Amino acid sequence: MPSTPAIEFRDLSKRFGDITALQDLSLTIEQGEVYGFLGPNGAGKSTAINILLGFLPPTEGQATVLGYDTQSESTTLRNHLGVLPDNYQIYTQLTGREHLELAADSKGVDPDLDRLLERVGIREAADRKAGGYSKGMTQRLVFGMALVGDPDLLILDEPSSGLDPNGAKEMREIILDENDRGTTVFFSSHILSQVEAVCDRVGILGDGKLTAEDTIQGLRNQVETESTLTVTVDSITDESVTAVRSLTGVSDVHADRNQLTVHLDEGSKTAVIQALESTGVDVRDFTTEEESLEDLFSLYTESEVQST
Amino acid sequence: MSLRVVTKADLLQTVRSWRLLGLGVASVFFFAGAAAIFTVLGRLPGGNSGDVSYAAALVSPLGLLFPLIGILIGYPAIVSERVSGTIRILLSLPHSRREVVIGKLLSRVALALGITLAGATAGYVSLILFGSSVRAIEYALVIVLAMSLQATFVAISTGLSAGSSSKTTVPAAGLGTVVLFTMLWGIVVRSIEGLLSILWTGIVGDSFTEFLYGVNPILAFSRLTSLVTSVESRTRMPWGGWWFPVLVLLGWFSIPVLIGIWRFEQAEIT
Repeated sequence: MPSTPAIEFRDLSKRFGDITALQDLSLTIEQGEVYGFLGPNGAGKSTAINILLGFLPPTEGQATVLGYDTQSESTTLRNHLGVLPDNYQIYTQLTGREHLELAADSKGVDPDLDRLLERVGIREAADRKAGGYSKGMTQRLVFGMALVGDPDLLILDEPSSGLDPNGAKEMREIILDENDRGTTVFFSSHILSQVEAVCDRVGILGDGKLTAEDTIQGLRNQVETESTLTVTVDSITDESVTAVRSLTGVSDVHADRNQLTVHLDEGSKTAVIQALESTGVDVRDFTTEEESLEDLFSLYTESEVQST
Repeated sequence: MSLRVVTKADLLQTVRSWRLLGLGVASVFFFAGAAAIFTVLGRLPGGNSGDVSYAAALVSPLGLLFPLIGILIGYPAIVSERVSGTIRILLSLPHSRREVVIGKLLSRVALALGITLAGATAGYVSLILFGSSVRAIEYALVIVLAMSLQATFVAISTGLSAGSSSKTTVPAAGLGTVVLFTMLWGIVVRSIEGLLSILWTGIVGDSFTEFLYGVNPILAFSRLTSLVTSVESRTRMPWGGWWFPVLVLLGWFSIPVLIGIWRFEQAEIT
């Protein structure tokens, strides 16, 4: 029997005046998943998260978190959440420890604060006013606040921003530990490599719309089989182009003077070369280029990039 | 539960700021200074020479000063958190927006009371040191009433703070209410009166005009103090005795906050 989804967006749209931030977003995240919410800056990731947190009402559609409506049951649902929002500011006059106490008191729990401070790496700074913290320490502190009370769901908006590579790695390890404990993790990022390492599934958002959704493995399979072959020949004939196009696994052929660009979904590059030579064309040189996950990411978010 | 948590966080954050310390020191200097002046002159500058006690002499200056301090303490409550982004931390935790507004109101009222209590104590001690006679009960009652006035203005500015996302609008509107009630209220009442008498000839009676004058919270404070000091009220007292000014203060304490909560609940936190 399917359990209640951790997060569900149903045909959700959000407009700010004439600007459409999200359009018909439908997305389901199951409990226990680590879900990466990807997209360039301005794609609508934070808007979607702000709706989950009850900061914004949707213009159309509905969103639920652990079965609770984000509009009418916001306070109740936040009892089950750990949140690292974006655009936040900490209380400058409160110490790090007092911030964690604030989170613990708010949730009515009594965690081992020293252990938590140790875990996010700010134990030494715990009794200093947080106003003097660096960006990275602040991010660790708020991440610590999110972990208070062992939440069922962690919502993290650009969690690695402000962290050095080492800090980002530590955070990823904690995310995986929490997930092992059964916590669902939903986090956004504009950097694919950070998502790749920890996510079960990713959704790519471009221009307010979900442009792709797959497992990391699924995306990788899609990428690994795709490649581009560029062949330089003495002269291109229609016959040679037709021969290459007719091969299985060739998705696109583009001819430009004495250069032939061949996109392959699958199939062998050698077959392309042989097909060319069999039409009497002299192959002088060829290069191949594998597509990376980054290329795929750019492809899915291209319209967004162009429009900004 | 939530109220206690929100109030505690707000107290910790504000109590450690220099601005609040400054207000506390200013309050002590004001009361002690006023005590010294009263001892020497027998009245306060701008006050009536008919004021027979320090408490009675304080009524007029407190009627201007406490609303101002109330506005200063209350106005950043919500709007500065919205502008800076700390509200996103608070609202990521399980607090409703209503609890956030009320929790902050409680904290700011407590701060205002603390500052006043420090000042009033300093004033009392100064009077004794200067050898003036003090009617302790009368003094305490005037201070309690002044605290109610101050709390009312803390509530007005907290309500404004919850209802707006602009850090400049809120203090401007807050100070505007002080100007309105201290300087412009007579003009406002006469304008309303004139307008109504043009629209409905003859039905604007004196009692309605008195009612309009009476909804001024600063006048309400002044009327209440005349009940506890031995000074005759300088204004007429229609609408019964003490209950009307008490209702006026309660109204100004609660209605702006309720409107602020309603506006904050509709607000988009971006």
